[in-house]
Amino acid sequence: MEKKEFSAFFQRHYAYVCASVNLLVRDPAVSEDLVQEAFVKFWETKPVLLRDGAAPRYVKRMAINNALMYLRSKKTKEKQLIDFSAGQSASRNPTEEEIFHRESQQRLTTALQQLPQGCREVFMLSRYEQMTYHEIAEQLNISTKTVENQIHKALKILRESLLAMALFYIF
Amino acid sequence: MNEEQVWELMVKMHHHTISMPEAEKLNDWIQQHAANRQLAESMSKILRNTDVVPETQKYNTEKAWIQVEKRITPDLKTKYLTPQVFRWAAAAILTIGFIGIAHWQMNSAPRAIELTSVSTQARELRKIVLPDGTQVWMNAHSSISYPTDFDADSLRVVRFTGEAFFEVTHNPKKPFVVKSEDYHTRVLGTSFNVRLTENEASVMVLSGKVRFSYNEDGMPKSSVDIEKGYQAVANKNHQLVKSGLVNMNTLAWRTGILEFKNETIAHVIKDLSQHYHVSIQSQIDEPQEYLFTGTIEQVSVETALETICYSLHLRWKKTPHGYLISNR
Repeated sequence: MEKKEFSAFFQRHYAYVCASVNLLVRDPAVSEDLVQEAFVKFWETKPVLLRDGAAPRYVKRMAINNALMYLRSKKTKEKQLIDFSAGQSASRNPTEEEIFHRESQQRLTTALQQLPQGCREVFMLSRYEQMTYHEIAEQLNISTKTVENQIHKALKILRESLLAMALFYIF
Repeated sequence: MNEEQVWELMVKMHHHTISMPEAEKLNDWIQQHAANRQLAESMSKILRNTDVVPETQKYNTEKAWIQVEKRITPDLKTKYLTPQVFRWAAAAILTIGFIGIAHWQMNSAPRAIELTSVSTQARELRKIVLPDGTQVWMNAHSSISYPTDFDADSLRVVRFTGEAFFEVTHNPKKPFVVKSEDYHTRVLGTSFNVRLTENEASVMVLSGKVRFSYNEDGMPKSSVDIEKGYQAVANKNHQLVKSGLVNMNTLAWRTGILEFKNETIAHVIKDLSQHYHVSIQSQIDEPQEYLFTGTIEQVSVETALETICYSLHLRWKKTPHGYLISNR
């Protein structure tokens, strides 16, 4: 990979990888540092085994790994809630369904953020990074059984949140 | 399957990285109980409602690139001090990264692959060479499609209908697979003839070894291994039959050679008419008396008839429908 190619690669994927990392780290400045570090390492090692199209995921994975290292060493506590965008344009009048949908999103993402730290990390790695339980276990230095338990716990809490919403809307 | 296993598959499905067998497994599980279906639906809701639009707008890529470029350009005045936490992390990241690659290669979403397609019309024979050097001689009414390069996959896959003779470049690390809708022929490096039409599915092996299988929904249901000199044919019920008697003359369309060793005239006529696509009738008393030995190579049908009739003291003539061989 030449520098020109790398520059284009960087321009294309940088912001997206930052946004992904920020889901875990919840500090945009730190996220940027971690992501930049990943890109630099990628440039330095220039892995040749990659298939076409695998490079962005590889860099993203490196950045996520950085994020997990950072979280482990910093032992950060829960910070302010992330601003999850609902992805709908606010200009036109939302239908009742859209309101419901946005509410659901809001409630679920709130529930997600309120999961205990370890449980949340495990769930997010599974949900957003599509890591297998084995990979998550390796990453976080825990057993696969623990990972599965955390997933089970997260799903239970999120399902309850869904249930609460449904009940609320039925009156 | 327990709940966590189901969740893993649901995530894969959501991200479109699920494989066929996994999707089948998931579907089977969902169909088993209403409770399963409900669980899957709740997981689906969770996935849908946690879809986030990445907030990329808050990151200034240009500014970031300036920082990064400084670090990767070798003539730095000041050495960048890597924070302590990353020094030991670097080795770990690389190891995990490399281990992860093989896994992603299995899981990554299918990317658009460029395919080349070649078809032959009636009476058209065509030879093509595939990206790995494999040679394919296509008979009439045949169609093949293959990717512009075979590097992307762990198998070399081509889709094919009709009849063709393959001479496959040897590559034990990447088996070559010829696929029609229901039948797959898998080889390492070999030469074989395959016939995959609506009514017929057969493979004949000239050299090497192939595995011929009948597939349903992409999964092999039955298969047979064939070696040089053998042929496998699928009957109407998709049952695979392996036969040892291989009439090499069925490859005459490709080799241009018809070889006969003490064959009855009936047999000779059959091979001739098949090869030349003409109707050859016979009016011969006691045809079993006439045995022909000889090689017909790259000649016209009339020259072939002349050769055969001359050696057997028979007569041939052209008719409105084709030809006629007689002994009077």
